Amino acid sequence: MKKLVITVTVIIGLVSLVAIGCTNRNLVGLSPGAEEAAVNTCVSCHTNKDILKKLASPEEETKSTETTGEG
Amino acid sequence: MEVWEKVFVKDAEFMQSTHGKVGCVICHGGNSQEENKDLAHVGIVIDPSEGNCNTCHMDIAHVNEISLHTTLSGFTSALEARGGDVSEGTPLSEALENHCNECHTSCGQCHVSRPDELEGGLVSGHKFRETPSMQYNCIACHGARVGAEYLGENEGVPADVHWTQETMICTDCHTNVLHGSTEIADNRYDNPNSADCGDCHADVWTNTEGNPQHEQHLGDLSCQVCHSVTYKNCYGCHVSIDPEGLPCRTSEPSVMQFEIGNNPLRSSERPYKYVVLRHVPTCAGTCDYYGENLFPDFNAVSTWKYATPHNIQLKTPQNESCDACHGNIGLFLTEDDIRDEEKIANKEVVVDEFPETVGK
Repeated sequence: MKKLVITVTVIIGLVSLVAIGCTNRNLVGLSPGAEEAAVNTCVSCHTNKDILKKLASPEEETKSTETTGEG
Repeated sequence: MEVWEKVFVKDAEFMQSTHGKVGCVICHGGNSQEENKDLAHVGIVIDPSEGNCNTCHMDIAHVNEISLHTTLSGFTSALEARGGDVSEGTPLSEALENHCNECHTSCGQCHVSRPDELEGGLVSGHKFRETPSMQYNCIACHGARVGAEYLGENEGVPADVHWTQETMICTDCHTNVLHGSTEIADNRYDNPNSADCGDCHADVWTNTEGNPQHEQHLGDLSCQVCHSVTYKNCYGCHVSIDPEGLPCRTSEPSVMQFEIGNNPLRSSERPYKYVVLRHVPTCAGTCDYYGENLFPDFNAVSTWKYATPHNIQLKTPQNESCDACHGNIGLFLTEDDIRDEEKIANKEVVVDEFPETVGK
């Protein structure tokens, strides 16, 4: 009986540790692969040249045209 | 590079790589379930290097923290050496932020995309390149002088033999130095991991038989004194803010020169008496836009600096014979080569005793 109680306790402990590890977002946020399972609009747009061209916004100018000479 | 091209991942194969499997939003934020572009990009982090790479690459991230690419302490140490006050809130700290800190790089700006200074853009889709691209990463920032020299882009000056004969890329020589030193360095030469010709050419040091020039000069002359050729020197850089509020700079046209001078960084690692010197773009008035006399001790540091031009040749005009160098005053930095306002700053590096001709 004592052995059974110890075994069950150890199993519950291990399952709890695994569960905590999977939900610890301090490390990498979502668990790897979780996003993959769902529809990923990032990939569908960023691998499609035509969509990117269509949706591209003009970039804000950050370089001065008054700069001359070599850097 | 077109705007769309900068963020074009090319194919979904990346998602099967180690980094791809982590998932987009984990590093970049945003919302991968949202179809509306603007909503999908709320909270997006374009360069997520900080705080993410070190999760798995702690060994490299740790040393990279003290890399000159990260600390940019080469800039601050140069300004402080001239008496500049770069403490927070000073005019010089504003100049530093506007004009120097843009050169800061991150893990991603070497291993994934082009640097921000060149307006970014993925290099090979979203592929993480263990070895950065020489063209799109290293030379993107180090192109005006070193890159142009190495590839032979200066008219009439040959490319470096390490490129023409061996197609060596930057990281073949610059290995450990790129991810930091063992301690915080003040400049690129203040690093025990710096590239060293002897790393590959150790035999030059151990066997000088049959090479009287090496026999005679190995300890006195840096390798570049005999094996580099004319290189680029820059003058008169002035920084300011343009009417649009954007940082800008102007400089005088660069000048191709070759000048041998006294070694300003003489040490046990660099014991040479003579080295080649390059004029750096700075001048006393470089930051005048931000205030007067911001370098009260400008003359404390030379404007002709220890240099290692990247245009190495086996045969050069100065090593053709003994007297190609001996007695050839034109090769040496003399007081006549120095601008009046910089004579005091450079008095220690100017050569005033020249090797006499030997008739050979």
